[in-house]
Amino acid sequence: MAQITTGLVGNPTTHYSFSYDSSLQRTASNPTGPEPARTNALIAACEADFNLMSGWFGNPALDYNIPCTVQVTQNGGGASWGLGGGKLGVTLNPGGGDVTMCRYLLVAEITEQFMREQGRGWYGTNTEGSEGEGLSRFLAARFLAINGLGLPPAGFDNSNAWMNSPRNDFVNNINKTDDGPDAITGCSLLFIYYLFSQLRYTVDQIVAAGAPTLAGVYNNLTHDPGDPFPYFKALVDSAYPGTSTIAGPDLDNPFPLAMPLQVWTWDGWGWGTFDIAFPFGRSVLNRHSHVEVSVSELGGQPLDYPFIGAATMTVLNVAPTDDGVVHVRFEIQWSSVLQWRATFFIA
Amino acid sequence: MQVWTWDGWGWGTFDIAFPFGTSVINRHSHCIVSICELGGQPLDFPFIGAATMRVHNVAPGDDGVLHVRFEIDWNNVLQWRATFFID
Repeated sequence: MAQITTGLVGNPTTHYSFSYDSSLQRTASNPTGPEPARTNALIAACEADFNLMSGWFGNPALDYNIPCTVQVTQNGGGASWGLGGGKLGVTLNPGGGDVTMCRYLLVAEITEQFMREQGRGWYGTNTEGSEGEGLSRFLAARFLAINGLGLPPAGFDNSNAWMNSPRNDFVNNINKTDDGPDAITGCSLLFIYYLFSQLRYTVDQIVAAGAPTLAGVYNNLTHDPGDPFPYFKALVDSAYPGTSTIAGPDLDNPFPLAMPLQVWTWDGWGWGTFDIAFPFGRSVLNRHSHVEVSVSELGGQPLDYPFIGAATMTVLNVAPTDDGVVHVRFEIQWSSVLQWRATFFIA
Repeated sequence: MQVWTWDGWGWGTFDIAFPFGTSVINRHSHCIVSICELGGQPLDFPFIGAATMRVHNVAPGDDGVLHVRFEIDWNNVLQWRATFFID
């Protein structure tokens, strides 16, 4: 069949030139054909959607000629794009989907153009790569949410591909040429939701923090120079152990999640006022963790019996940090060394 | 159990009334509090500096307010973060 523009109104727009497959045209012999009504609804909405995307990326200059071509086919399965000689061509394969599906697919494709134009690392090598694929799926879902259009279409969820896998580290290890739905891109999508719904960064902040890895995006956002993967994975594992998956209703975004309360004890020696750095590790806490500490003297045989003697013991400052360390200042009012036990509640 | 943080400014010995609300606490609630100094850019990095900080009295009320007495051993204003476990 051939691409046609019969019945399209307001075409082209500033940024898009639409056509659809002739087999989709509603005719006497094809009374259920969705076109041209569906593409006309897409034409009516596409420029506002474009402006939303452009705003997320700080309105960068386009590196292709406008309008680009957008071909709506009779196929299902998603969308794709090709770029050559300054000409961008987008193919939408919405199957029997409605105009919302078409808008969702177009946003997912055009955000990838903005990533390349922005040039801060989201885009991969000749394709969006795993990091960019995660961002395009995230932004397409945010487009739906902002416009009150619900969740991504059935079958377009991706986070569970990573949940139902060995959960390897694709936050630091980006695949610059992987743009398919798989565990790598699923990890990317889930981590971006972690930045958005758990750490509460805005879409604009996340997009502007682009870096060659998702760990770099995190570093740019939080000013924590360390590795975010251990805490991210520990948080997800605590709520979804093993290979258990997100049940929904949003199959891609389980956040915010509460880190389960952990209790620890640590024994030491000291007197006077002194600081101790307790290295719990980055999978246990970060600077936004909630930490409470108590201290008592230890005695008995074995040296394992908390008691209160003549020495007053006080917990002073308690400072958790992004490197997984809790710094605590203690005061023990005694003139010689005593054995103490500190108890930690960490959430 | 709920966990909260609250940031503020102060020095010396001072009382703060934290209005969590009646849906969060009453006078029988169990509340423990810790305190540390904040620094960095953004002003969001707990650390221990020269100033010793103490939590003294902790008093939950039926009006949903938690009254806490702090002591910051410093001679001018510092940024602090209080962390609360409430059950």
